[in-house]
Amino acid sequence: MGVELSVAVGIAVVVGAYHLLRTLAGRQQSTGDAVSASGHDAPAALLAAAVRLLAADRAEWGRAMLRELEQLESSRVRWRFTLGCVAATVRVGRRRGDPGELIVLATAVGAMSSAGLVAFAFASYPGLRQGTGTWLDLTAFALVLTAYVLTSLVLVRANTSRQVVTRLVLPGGVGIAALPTLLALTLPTARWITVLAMLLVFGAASAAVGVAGARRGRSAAAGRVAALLAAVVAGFAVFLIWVTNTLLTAGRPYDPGLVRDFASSSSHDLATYAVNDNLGSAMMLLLVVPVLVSVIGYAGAALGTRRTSS
Amino acid sequence: MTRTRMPSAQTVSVLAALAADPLQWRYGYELGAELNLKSGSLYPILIRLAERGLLVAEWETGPAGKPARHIYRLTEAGRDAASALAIEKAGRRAIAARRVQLGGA
Repeated sequence: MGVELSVAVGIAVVVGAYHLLRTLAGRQQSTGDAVSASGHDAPAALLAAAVRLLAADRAEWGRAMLRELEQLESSRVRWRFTLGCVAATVRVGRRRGDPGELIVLATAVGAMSSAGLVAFAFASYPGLRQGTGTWLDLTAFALVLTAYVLTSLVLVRANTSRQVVTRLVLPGGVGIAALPTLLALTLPTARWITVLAMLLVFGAASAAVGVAGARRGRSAAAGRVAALLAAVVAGFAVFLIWVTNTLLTAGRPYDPGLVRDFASSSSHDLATYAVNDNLGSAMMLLLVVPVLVSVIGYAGAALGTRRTSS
Repeated sequence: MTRTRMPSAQTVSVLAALAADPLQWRYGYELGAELNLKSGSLYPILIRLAERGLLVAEWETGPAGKPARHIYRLTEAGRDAASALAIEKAGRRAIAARRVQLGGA
């Protein structure tokens, strides 16, 4: 774990925030009249932002809340009403049983499991707490987890169920993570052919999600949404597989390079050193995998639209 | 076998308040203030009731210059549900009172 992770997180947060703002801006048109009518103070702005995250089939209820807020004059009452409504928008985002909610739940479970595994690692290997910049890395890690859950929430709720090809996302995301892992387990390790096969399968699965999303949703936007959501799911799946394996094996096998680096480090325990090294790699993968899946999935979405229209 | 889930006490209170004057249209904030229900609890209840066909929500046509507000009242099915719940509640109270009497005897 190191400074490069924090820098990568910073870039990812900026890019993510840009995409979230674009998505929210797209929703502004539908709630715009109610937003402007509800006033311009902080409670109105907060409620307007929360209402924009509601799904299309619940948007009318969001407008109802904004109109009701407009009737209230006391600042204290406005804040109380707004905070309650914000909580309500989180609770009632979509209809119960909607597959989109399952994706949000899956990413929330993925985030909590990831945090739980890291907490377990820190409890099992106290030496991990002594590294320089550890708390900065952990803060960055918490930011990434929060950003991923928020991204899935916004993407699921800010798009109509027709656009979000939700049934594709969970199997797609898990498949993108699991197929290369299966290859790594079955093919001989440390061979270039194994690495090449893993990369090819990873790329093909990512592109397939984009293509299938675009074809099922009949638009490149649907393919892109499917790719982004699958990217988050794949990121969590890779992280969970990697960290679970690390904790089960205490970071083994200890290759000669690792042993050499350990000898020149200030660490006193090889297992702690190996677990620390693997945790850093897993956190980096948590960033890199979603970025790669998104880029390849976007290309797949463009390809899927072309094939549909031709 | 299908299990019938009992509505929450808050849902029952919303149904009862709307059933008190079933033809009267009510505003969300006013209803919440009357029942001492926060908006975070009230709106999910209203949404669920509307989706089950127990509540009808409409936009009030306000006077010129005033923005429209959402207004609510029970449907016929909602009125039936509120009556059934009121009868059930009365029956439970009677049973509880009877138990207290028997226990004290």
